[in-house]
Amino acid sequence: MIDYLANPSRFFRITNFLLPWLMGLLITLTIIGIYFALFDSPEDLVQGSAVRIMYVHVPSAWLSIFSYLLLSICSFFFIVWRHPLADILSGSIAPVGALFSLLTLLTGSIWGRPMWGTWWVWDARLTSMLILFIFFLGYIALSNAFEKNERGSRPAALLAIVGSINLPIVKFSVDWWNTLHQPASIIRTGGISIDQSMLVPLIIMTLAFHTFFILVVVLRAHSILIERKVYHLKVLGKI
Amino acid sequence: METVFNNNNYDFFIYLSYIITFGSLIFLLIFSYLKFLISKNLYSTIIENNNDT
Repeated sequence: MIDYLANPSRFFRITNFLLPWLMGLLITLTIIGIYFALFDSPEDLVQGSAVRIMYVHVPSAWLSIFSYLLLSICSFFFIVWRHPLADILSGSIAPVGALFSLLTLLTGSIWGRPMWGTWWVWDARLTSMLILFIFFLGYIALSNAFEKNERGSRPAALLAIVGSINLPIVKFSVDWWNTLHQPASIIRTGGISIDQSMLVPLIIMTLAFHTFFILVVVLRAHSILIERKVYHLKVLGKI
Repeated sequence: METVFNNNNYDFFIYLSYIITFGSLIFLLIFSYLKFLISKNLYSTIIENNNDT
């Protein structure tokens, strides 16, 4: 499968076929998601309308963890099998994951101001999410530190694998320590604890964010694949 | 603290979070799409004309 996709012509055919569908799906899900989130979902008994920040904060947080997990898996594949497509996918995922973790921190901070009375606390969940963001930045910096990008791939992949130790800390920080952040209300052992009227917009927004993630990763992987191909052709003196 | 919790007008915080989120997502999408178009043109002009690839 990986070898099948590593051929640029084939990869282009697949991306050209996928792009309009992904774009259409993204626009549809985003419009429906924003409508439900801002106009149709009820206010929370305690938080009032501020709960609407949840519909952008929680999908961003899920995606930042999911993208780091994918980054670690791709890095593992690259370290073990040295397949270039795993490295290209890692390079495509990292900036998107970094953006989502930054958005998690920013929207969380904006939500925290009216609810907790402060923009930031050195709380276990917030701090571990900040560390996740720093790992993303570290990966990007290390993989771009060399003139020939492939030279930075291996140390960056190692960093990504080491950083994966932070993922369970982010997820379970609210259970392991006393924090200001509320505990999990969806992915938890006791089942979902939020009302369906809030769950539906949350799921729609999550699907929209995941579609965005797939779309941008495909676009970026396409660009990186070409950049590397052109670089190798230049080195070989063929262009 | 009382003032913060009793004030139920959170519009500023809600719109700020949505503008930051969707603004940055749209920026990344446009940036990635432009990069995609540039690399696609590069591919068609350089790589497809090279018989050795």
